[in-house]
Amino acid sequence: MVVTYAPTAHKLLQGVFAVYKPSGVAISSLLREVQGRLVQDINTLEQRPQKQMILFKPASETHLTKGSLLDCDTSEPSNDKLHHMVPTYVPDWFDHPLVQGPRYNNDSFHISAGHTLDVHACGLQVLGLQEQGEEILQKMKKLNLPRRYQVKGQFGLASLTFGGESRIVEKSTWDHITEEKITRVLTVLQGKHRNACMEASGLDLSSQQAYRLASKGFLRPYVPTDSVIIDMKLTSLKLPEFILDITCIRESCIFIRKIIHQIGLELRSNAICTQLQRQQDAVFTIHDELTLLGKNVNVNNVIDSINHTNNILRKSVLKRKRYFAKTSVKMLQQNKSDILFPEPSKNSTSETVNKAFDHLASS
Amino acid sequence: MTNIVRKLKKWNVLLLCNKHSQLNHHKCTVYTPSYKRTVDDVEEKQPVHKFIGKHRKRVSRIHVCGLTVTGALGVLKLPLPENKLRIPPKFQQNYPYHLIIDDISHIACGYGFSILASKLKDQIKVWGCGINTNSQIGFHKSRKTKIKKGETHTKSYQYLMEPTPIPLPFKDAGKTRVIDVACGRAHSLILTDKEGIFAMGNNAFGQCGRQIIEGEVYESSAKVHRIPHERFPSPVVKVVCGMDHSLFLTQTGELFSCGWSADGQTGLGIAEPVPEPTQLRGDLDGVKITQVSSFADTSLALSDTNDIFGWGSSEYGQLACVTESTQAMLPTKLPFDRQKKIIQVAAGGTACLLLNESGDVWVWGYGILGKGPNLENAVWPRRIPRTLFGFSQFKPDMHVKQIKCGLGSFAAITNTGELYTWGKNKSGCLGIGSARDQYFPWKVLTGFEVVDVSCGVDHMVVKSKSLL
Repeated sequence: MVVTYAPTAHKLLQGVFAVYKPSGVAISSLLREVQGRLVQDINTLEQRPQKQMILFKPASETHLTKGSLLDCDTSEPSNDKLHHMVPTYVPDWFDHPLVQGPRYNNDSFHISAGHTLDVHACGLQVLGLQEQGEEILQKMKKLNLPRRYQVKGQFGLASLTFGGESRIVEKSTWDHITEEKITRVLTVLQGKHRNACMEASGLDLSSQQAYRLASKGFLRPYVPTDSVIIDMKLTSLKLPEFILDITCIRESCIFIRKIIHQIGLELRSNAICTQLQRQQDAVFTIHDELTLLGKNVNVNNVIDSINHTNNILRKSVLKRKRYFAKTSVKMLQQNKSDILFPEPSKNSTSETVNKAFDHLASS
Repeated sequence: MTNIVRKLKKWNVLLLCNKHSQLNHHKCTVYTPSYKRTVDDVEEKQPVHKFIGKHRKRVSRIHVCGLTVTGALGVLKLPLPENKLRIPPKFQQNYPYHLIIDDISHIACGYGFSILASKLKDQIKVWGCGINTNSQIGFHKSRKTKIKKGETHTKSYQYLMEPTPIPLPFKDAGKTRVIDVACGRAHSLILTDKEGIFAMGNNAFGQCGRQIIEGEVYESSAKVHRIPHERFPSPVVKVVCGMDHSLFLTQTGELFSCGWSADGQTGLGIAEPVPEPTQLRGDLDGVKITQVSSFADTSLALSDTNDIFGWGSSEYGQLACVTESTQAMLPTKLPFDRQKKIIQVAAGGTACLLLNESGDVWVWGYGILGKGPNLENAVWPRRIPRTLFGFSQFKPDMHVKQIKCGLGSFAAITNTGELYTWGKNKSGCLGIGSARDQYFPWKVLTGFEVVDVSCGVDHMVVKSKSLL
């Protein structure tokens, strides 16, 4: 659906959408650019008609059929024509765009950003339009949903700010590093985070509820904590460069770069983060068509992506509520495939076991 | 002076870096694409450090946790620090503590003592620490006490607070190596490849494999009984100790036992203590056994035909699927529906574990089974969900590789070298960092890749490898 009328477009432009932020651009300039493009684009659409003003004009000056408010009697004596004032619509020249300026300017779009990316990081950036967008962003922040990053790093160098842009402090050899060693280091580094994640759920760990939730998936942190890594995976290794996939909660870009630095130290070498790209933020992914590049930001595209995210967000928010609800417990209790029955058994347990396994894997 | 103007094409915005307006600056470090690093002169002159070589060997480590007072951890300075005013004595070690000892191949935990076997062919083959009131760790002459009038033998240390080499009567120490170690309540067995089995400690029920001597004093006793391999039809491959009984598994899959039998622990059908290793019959006749496990009074055996046999005490319902009485005097086949191949069985004090080839852990018995506080009792095996061992959508390959049982605690090692423990946290033996009981598997943070684990009554010994 293509929107051509500006006021409807302005009403529809309320919500949350995702944008690709290139590296080297600060968030403030990104927001200004998006705002500027939207304003530019919405001013090219069909604007509301020029307002009309009511003026009392002598009847003789007016064409009686054209623009007259009252149905004027033509049978009146011609002497009164000069003095009889008739209310008429007249175009209000104050309201002309050449007088007032374009209909929409930067102030008509209130933009806010979700969890922000660094200047040097690139990738998905969630933005919110108008107050509704800001409210949704705040709700998403409280949900603590995980974010996924693709981190490109280089072994052998250590820099001041853990990234590629600052001064190199130390250089070391990296030819002893293999994929096996990296995976071992990653599993050890994640252990502390896994335990912290479960403890921060705020539940008493000796309760049945904690066991139920832990067996369904991982317990998510409910209580405010430090950054928590959910998963770290090595996707490619071409010495000295490597690419990691990191999923985490409540993190910052500096935290991720520091993790890379720590991995380098654990491997008795050094590492810097050469590129940091956010690939997924809660329900938004980078490969979605509705994640907009800067050049694609125009009114219709933004409206489409807002619509799309509205549908998804509602579903995931509900899912989150169900995660901690009592009703989901009944599903687990009914699933009796966790018991080994004696042979000969009428129902083969392998099928039910596999079904339960699939159910657990998909949740 | 060079003015480099960088055009950010995606945003159609021209941006001039303020550095480029200065003299002698020909490279912009602010807006270069991140994957192309530019190297300047200062960085090139820096030396390249070499912290580790390419062919460095991985070092093995021993971690201990649990009750420190008995000396089972082998760390003297925890319960008895040198400077008591500054460092308070620590009676429980809640998280793994690095025990500095090299070249250990096998570990075993008993009731308040541990034995570590060295993998070298030196004179010192076994190290022991902990309670020695029944000479289960051998005779170590006490230097303090003097021989009084009327006493014929010197005294040995009753508690060994640090790992001490155990003197064993080898014929030719340089040629034999220790294959396996097992510890029970008050006795221990050390299996070597050429010289047979050395048994020391309490023999009140014949668990050391020698005749019971009435009125024998086990304190400060230097008796070490040797059972040669020739006594069995084929060389013994594994030794397992229950509380007061011993089990021997030979290469051809035959099972021998000796010791206390009042609850049927020896599985020979009689209730009197058995002083000589005798072969088990019952359902085990003609079956080749591949794995045995026992910690207290229940024993489980796994055969190559994927059958599980159980015998011994069933007080807590470990064998309730085959017998209603509190013990099974003969080995009986447990009628579990086995779709997949079973790799390991483990019998603990009150509950038993089972591991199949897809990495699933099944638990039955009584106590903290690992499925939350509500499940205390299970007659038939219940599966512990894989997600508790680290399985998730991000790690679909994660599965359990090894299981071990203590008296009230359980341990599992995954294929990635992570250690998960659960059960009754007696004196911090689970190693989870706190003294609370753990009702579902919790990861133990050692910082190393865990290779082997052994659970005792109130302590745990973990063998791990360094990451690099």
